[in-house]
Amino acid sequence: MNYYIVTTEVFNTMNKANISFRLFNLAETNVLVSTTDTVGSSLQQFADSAAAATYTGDNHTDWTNAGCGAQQWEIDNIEYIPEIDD
Amino acid sequence: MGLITKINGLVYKNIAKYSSVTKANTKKVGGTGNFHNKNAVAKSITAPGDLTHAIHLADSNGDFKFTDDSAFSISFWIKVGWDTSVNATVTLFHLQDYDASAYWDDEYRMIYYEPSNRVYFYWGSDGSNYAQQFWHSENLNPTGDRDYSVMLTASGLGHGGNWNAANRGNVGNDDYTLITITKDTANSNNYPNLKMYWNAADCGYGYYGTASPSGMTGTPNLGSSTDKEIGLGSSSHIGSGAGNNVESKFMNLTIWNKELTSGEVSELYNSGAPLHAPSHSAYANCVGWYPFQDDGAGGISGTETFTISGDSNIEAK
Repeated sequence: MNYYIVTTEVFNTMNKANISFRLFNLAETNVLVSTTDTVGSSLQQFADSAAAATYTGDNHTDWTNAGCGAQQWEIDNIEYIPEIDD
Repeated sequence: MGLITKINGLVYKNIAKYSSVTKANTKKVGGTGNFHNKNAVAKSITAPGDLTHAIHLADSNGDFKFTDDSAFSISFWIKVGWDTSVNATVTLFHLQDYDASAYWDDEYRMIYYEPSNRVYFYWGSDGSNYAQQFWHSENLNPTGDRDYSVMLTASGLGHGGNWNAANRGNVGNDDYTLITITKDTANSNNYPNLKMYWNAADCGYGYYGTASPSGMTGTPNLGSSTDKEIGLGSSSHIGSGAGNNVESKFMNLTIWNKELTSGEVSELYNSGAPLHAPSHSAYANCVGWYPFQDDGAGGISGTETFTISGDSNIEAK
C-alpha cells in the first residue's frame, strides 16, 4: 500500500477502485490517500500509515478540528467506498 | 418512605419486577426517583489524547464482561454537539480490557466517523481479527438487503446528511436521540444478529449487510478478562476520538446482558422521554444504568462509578 497527500485535482484523476482510504484536509484542497497505485505527482509520500497519521497529527489544524490528526487505525480500517462517499 | 411511594406508583408488572431484584438494588432505585428534568453529562474537549477530560469507568467485577459470543445491548441518549468541521472520529461508546494500550484489544466500540457520515460498531480481539458494521444515510440501492433508506428514514438525517449539532435528525425530548445497539450470541455483524436503533426505529441493514463484503476480518475472539474500562465520548484507553471543542451530552446509559427486542427498545425510548430504567420490563437484565444526574454513579448497586474529569462535567440539559 502507498500513502500520499495529493491535491484534489490529482485525486480526481486517480483510479478510485484502488484507493482504500481518503481524507480531505479542512480546506478540501489536499487529500490523504492510501492506494495500491503509484502516484508520481504527490505533495507528500509516507512510508506507512503510521507515518501518515503522524504527519496529520503534526499538522492537525489543517486536517481536523479534533485536536489531533487522522489516527492510524482510521487510515488502516475506514474503507473508502466511492459508491457512498462520492 | 420514598421507596415505598415509588413502588406504589408503579404498574403491576413493574412491581413484579421489583420483587426479583436484590434488596440492595431496590434501595438504590429509591434514591433516584426524581430522574426526569435534571442533568446530563457534557463533554467539552480541549485536550484529547489522555484521560484528563474523559468520562471513564474502570470495572473490575465483571459486570461488563462481554465476549464475541455474548448477547447484550447498549443504549444511551445523546445530544450531539460536534459540527461539520470535526473531520475526524467521534467516539460514542468504547469498552475494552482495562490494560488495553491500543484499539482492537478485546473491545466493543461505537463511533461516528464524521468525514464519511458513518455510525460504526466494532468488536475485535486484535487488529487482524475484528468485526465491523456501519450505517449511513444515503438513498442508494433502496431495495433488498442493503436498503439504506431504512437508516435514512430512521435517523431523519436526510439523504447524505451528516449528523451534527445543526442536523440532529429525529430527536426525542430536549433534542436528545436514543441510540441503541443490540447483539445476539452470534459472532456476526450482519442483520439481524447486530442491530442499531435510532429512537427505537430499527436502522435495518448496515453497509455490510450481506456475505460480501462481509465486514469481518479474521475471527474476533475476545478474551474473558473481567477487568474492563468504558469510555463515553472518547476512547477508553487514551481519551482520543473525542470530537471537536463543542460539547456533546450523554445521559441514561444502560447496558443489558441480553439482546433487547424491538418492543423492549421502544419501551426504553418511552416516546422520547428518558425512562427510569428500573421501571423497564427487562430490568432484571440491566447490568449497568448510569443516569448521570448528579455524578457518574451507577444506578444499580455494586456497579462501579464513572469518573468525570476535566472539562467533562455534569450540567443542565
